[in-house]
Amino acid sequence: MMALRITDLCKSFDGQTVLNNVALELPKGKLLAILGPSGCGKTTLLRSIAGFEMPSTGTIEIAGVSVFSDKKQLPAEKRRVGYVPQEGALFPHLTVAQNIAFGLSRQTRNQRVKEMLALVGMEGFEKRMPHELSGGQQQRIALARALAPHPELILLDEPFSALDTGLRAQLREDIKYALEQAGATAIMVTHDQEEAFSMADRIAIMRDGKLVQTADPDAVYTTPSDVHVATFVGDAVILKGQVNGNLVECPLGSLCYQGSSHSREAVTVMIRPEQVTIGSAQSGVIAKVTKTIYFGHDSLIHLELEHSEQHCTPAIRVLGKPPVKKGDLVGLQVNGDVVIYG
Amino acid sequence: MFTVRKEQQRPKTSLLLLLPILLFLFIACLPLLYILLRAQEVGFKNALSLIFRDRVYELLRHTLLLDFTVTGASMIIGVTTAWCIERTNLWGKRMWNVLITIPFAVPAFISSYSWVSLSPMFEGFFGAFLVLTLYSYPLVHLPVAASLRGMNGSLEEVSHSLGYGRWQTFWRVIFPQLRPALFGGALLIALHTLAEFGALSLLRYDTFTTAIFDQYTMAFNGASAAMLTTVLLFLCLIFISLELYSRGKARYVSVGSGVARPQKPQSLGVFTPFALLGFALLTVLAVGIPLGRLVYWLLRGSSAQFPLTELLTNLGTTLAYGLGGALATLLIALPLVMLSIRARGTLSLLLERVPYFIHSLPGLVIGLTLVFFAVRYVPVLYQTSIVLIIAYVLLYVPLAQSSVRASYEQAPKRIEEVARSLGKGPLAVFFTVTLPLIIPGIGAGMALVTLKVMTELTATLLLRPTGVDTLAIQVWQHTANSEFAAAAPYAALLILISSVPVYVLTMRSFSSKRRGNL
Repeated sequence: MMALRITDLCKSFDGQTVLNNVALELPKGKLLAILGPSGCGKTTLLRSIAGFEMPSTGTIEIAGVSVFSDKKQLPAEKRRVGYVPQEGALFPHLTVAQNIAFGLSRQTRNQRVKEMLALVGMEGFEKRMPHELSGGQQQRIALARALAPHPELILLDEPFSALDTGLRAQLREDIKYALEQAGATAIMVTHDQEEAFSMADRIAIMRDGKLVQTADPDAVYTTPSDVHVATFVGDAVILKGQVNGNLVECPLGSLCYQGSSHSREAVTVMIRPEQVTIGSAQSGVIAKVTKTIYFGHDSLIHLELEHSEQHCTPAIRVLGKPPVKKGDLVGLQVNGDVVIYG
Repeated sequence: MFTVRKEQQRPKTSLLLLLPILLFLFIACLPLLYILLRAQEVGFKNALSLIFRDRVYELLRHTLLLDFTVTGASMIIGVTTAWCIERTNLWGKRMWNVLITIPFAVPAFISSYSWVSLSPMFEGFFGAFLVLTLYSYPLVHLPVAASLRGMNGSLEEVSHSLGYGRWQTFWRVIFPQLRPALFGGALLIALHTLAEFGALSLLRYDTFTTAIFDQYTMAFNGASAAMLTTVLLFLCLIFISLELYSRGKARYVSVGSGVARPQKPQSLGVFTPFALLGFALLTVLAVGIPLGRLVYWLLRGSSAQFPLTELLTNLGTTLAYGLGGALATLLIALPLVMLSIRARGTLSLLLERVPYFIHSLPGLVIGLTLVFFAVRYVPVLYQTSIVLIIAYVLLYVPLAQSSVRASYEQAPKRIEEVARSLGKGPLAVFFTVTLPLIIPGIGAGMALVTLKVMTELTATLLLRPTGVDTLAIQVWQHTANSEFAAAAPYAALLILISSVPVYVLTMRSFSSKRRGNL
């Protein structure tokens, strides 16, 4: 049974389409990240699932129970969905323990609060007030509060956006751990690729109110559904090319490609920069170094292809300091299959 | 296919919210209706002749003269004191700050009683100007001081580094930032002066408000009173639009709060003795004389018989009206705030603005309106406490509204949503989450409205049930008959019980400071 099943979900607002035929399925126990630029409708989708916003048409089913359809609109309090908004939104008048106990019945209260505090690593904080906690601690308690009543689904709305970069990495790991321990099914909305890739079991890419690709993180990265997704989730070298049998011809050479072939067809070629290796100018495609930027742990090398009618300026990342300098000629080699789009 | 749009389902409670609001809006329309009905009865020609006549011009001159001089003088005093206390090394700043804000808690009709009982020479323009200025300047001092406190000091440093001296920096950098606070306070003073009845009546200085009252109570000339009211309302409208104009301008003035760094106080240098002398003089005039005279009359009066039973009865009445009025006001203010925050657009703006417009109406106008409609249409209600409570609601809803609003904004919608997703219905969420969060605001609103109702004079005079006296009315009646010693115990008791809500309000601001930025 699916923890969440959404079909044909649409919502328009002031004549503008915010959700456009969204369909989504999420198995129990998985963490899905909805990744998209701001204003793409991802928060609206999350709030529609939670029951804070009313879609125009479509259906939403949570753990086999219909919570939204033409005939039925279950209010938020009946959906058994835990919600963690940006900046936690703890009840400022209640202690940490009272916050976590808010959705619990009287009998199970004390036991469950203890469990939850242990789960998020905040034992001993029962009596604190929210304003005595740091931002990261508040988010932990907000998660504990959402998990406490055993919801069918946890919704996280950009849970790390208000935190310092340094805090984020640790909190991400801890929250993923807590979600896994609780066996929770969760959806997280984010505009941060790194966050989505490092945490999620599945990633749904959203653009202009549509889910354009829903897949495993690896699949999203290596075989993005279109060029926009490819460049949104990571750096990419985009070239024009032509299919010739099993190979595609492009300025970086004749390369193997994934997917079905259409011979003699003009296509767009997507290559991830880490597929490209830099060698001596004796072999491979000749390119000139136009700029090098040193970041300490790695460097970025900007190149321009020689002898190519296409203007192509890939930027390649290498570990450590740059092995070449501005003006050098190098030879480029592409490893692995590339992705083509018709 | 997604053109089909279901209406956002509204929670059922909104009907519960809507009912008091509709009732309030209906009553709020009555003052205008009153004027229209009266004008129609008098007839257009007669109405014009009642408005454009020498007496009205004289009143207009009197009213505007007093209004502008009081407002102007209060602005000068308020900005000077605020700057000295917040920005200089003046000796005894804390003490002065407490002393010079005391007049805020003493009703103008009580301080005018003190001055008049000193010498009849304070009757007329000079006395009115003196008493009202000394009563009003805290309305400028308090917001301007707060604004100076919150101001980003580095702006001044930038100005100095760009080559501007102290004086130029004040005018080019500090003053523009003070404008919203200053003009907000000035508008309040202008409107209060326009509406002031008790003090001016005791000081025998005629303005529209006192003239209307006389027309109504002595000449029983309702038509003439109504037409004078029209002019008064017109003046109110002018002041309100001035405020709206200054507000629209003010927005770009207060850009970004920045992190306020502690300021290094400026040295007053050779001006120190003058500043100290000024503060001492202000304290004597604004606090010493009003309270000193009160004590003097209290001591003299105690040789005569002390009206204990009457005092206690009046105290009871005053408290009952104060608390009852505050409760009724909050019952209206709470739904207004909830709806205006949760709803968006024109409705929200309307709900926010209408009460403020009503608030700028003099208590006298509201009193006359309610008398008129009660006598004509619901004589059962005439001279009952219900009508008086309605008047208090109309007068003080905005005060309750702004207190409740401030704390309601600390209960963001998201928090209510989280509570809903944890399995609580809308009503349960209101009682377990929203209400606890806005309790401080409700408390502050209660205290403020109670204070205001207890010291209210004009509407109470017009609307109170026969034979029912509050402390304020006793003070006014005795003073009007020059029975100064007899007035003293009532005035003293009124100030004493008024200090309770004042204390509650200051406590609150202290505690909220301690809790930091929660």
